[in-house]
Amino acid sequence: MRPSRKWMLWTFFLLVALVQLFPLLWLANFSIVEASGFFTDKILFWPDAPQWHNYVNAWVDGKFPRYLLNSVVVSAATIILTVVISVSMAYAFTRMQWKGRSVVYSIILLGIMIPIHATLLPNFAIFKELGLTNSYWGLILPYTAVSVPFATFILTGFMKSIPLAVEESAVVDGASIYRIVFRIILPLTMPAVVTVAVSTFLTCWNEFIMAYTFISKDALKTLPFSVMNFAGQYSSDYGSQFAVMVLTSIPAVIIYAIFNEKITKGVTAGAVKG
Amino acid sequence: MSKPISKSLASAIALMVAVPVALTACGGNNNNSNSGAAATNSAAASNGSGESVTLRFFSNLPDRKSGQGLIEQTVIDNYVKENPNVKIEVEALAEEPFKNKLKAYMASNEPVDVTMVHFGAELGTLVSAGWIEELNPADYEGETYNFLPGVFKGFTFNDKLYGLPRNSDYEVIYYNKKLFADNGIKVPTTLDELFEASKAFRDKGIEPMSMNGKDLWSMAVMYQNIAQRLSGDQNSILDATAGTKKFADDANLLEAAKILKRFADEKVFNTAYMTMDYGASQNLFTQGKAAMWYMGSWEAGMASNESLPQEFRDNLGVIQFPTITGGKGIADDLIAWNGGGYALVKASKHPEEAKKFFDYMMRADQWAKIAWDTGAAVPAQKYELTGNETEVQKQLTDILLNAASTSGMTFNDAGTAAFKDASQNAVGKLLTSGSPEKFIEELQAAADKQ
Repeated sequence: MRPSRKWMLWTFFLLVALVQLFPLLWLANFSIVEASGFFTDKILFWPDAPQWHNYVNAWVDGKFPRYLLNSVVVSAATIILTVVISVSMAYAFTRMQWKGRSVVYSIILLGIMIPIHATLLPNFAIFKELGLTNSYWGLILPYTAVSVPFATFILTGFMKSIPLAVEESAVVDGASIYRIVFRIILPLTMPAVVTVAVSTFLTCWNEFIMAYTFISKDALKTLPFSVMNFAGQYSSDYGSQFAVMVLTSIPAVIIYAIFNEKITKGVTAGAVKG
Repeated sequence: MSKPISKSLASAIALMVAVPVALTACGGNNNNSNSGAAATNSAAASNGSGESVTLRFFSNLPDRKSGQGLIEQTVIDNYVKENPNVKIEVEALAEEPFKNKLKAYMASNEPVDVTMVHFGAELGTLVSAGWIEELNPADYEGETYNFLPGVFKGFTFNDKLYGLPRNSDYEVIYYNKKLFADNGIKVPTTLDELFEASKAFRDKGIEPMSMNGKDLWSMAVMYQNIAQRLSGDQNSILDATAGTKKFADDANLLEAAKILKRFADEKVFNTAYMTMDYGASQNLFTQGKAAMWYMGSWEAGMASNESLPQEFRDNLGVIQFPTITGGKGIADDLIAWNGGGYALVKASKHPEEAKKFFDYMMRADQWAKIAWDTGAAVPAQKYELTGNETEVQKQLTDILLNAASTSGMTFNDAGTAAFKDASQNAVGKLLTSGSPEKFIEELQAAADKQ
């Protein structure tokens, strides 16, 4: 590659990276700006008096540690459930022959189109009857229900591209159906599974509408509630809110960074193997 | 290679699924023991007081460390201190989530004990669903409560009282004295002076009036304000909303729409005001970038809010909405209402304890006094001046006490929830592209649908 082209390529990538990173930089910057510094003309600046206590506010008044634990529990359980259910279903839809297969598949996919706002009130009433409001399951179940259709869609498409020969040899060797699904198919679909896991994680991590509807107990609240602890009826403590958002986005950024690499690896490895 | 992976994966799955199971198991137990305790509590409460009771309080003020959230929390803390057997569990959500969850609670008859409510259309929905407990107005007469006359209007349905107001809300214009003085511009008392002043500010590159156009309600209230200044009649627009007359019957309503459109055409409002929400418009004003802000009395606390620049606070002033030459309304006519308040919930598991707390909170020496002392709101009850008031608080008190007439309601809140939406959207359309004639038609159509 000629140096000039290389140089251009680098500039281009740096620009793209900057555009991607700017919101995060801005967020971090304004989390230490004092309340009166918001809505200035400057875009990024170092404040005269950095408001580090915003982070103390976020940690203590925002009840960050407690909400973080809840978010982790809910997200992790949702991801596990979503992956197990959708891998099983995708396998049933791609490899097994049964009556009504396409009908059930369509019904599952319809789930993608249902707006959660429409399900809030009925779900609240049902959960209340079942005693699921104010429990982790009150969040894990609806989150899983929302994630499964999309995950099944992705995984079904991916599984269709896996050659049947692998499973044939497994069957010849006497492998049971569970062994085939979780020992052979699951590792092969890893790139798709990671994609599903990351997107499910991001959904759960940021979800607020269902969370505030189904959860009233402080001990069970998830991270998005933390931001709201600084919202007044008319004015808000923006600095502390930004600090909460910085803290909230750190795990998301880390997880995305780790798994992002895995996705790329998985995809390229698959490509080479053919 | 695949063996260890799947093994660790399997154990990870087991662990991850087990954790919430274990945690919910604890939660479930808690719930059970709670409801068990609640049952014994209510039994004990009917036998006599002294047993521990947990009351549920639902609020729209999630920030418990400043502003009105702090007042609310202070009152609750005071009550708990005096009644150690009572625990008050506060659930607070910001405005929009609060409204949504309130509907969910209403639909499922949730046993909340005391809830924050908005007057007019929104409380009306809760009342017609039978979720709100009726109050006896006679209980709240006299010195202990000291409510100002006429403040129950937005909380009364079919002549029955369903809630008590927490604030006196009325629209004024906050202005920046320094910006007016430095540029040699006269503080307006008439509409023509307001237009002149805003033209002068525009020429100097200063935004004349900050407006939270995105929220729409502020402009709807301004429309009512203009109409009142023209007709001198507080009830005309409310009667039209209620359907006892037509919007077209009062020519002032069309004229007011034309004047409101002039506000937009002559660029009185700040640039891109239609995209500004409450916080953004407030910031424009508090940063000294806009000379005026059309807003309610609940912003009395700006003058003592230390997160705002000192220079701004020293220069904050309040004026009444200007009069209109030839109009019948005077400056002392006030667009005033009582927007926020509290209500008792019918489904409450401890109705007696809930009412005791509710009555305590609304006493003139609790909510009203603390609200006034902290400057975070103007209460709907008579309050003693302490002598420590800011200049802004004094001016606001004068405006309220000298009011020649008050509207009692804002027209956009006086109908159903659907009317509120439709009327506010009509105002937005009027200011951006619509014609005043079309605007009146749209208001009429919205009122007819009720």
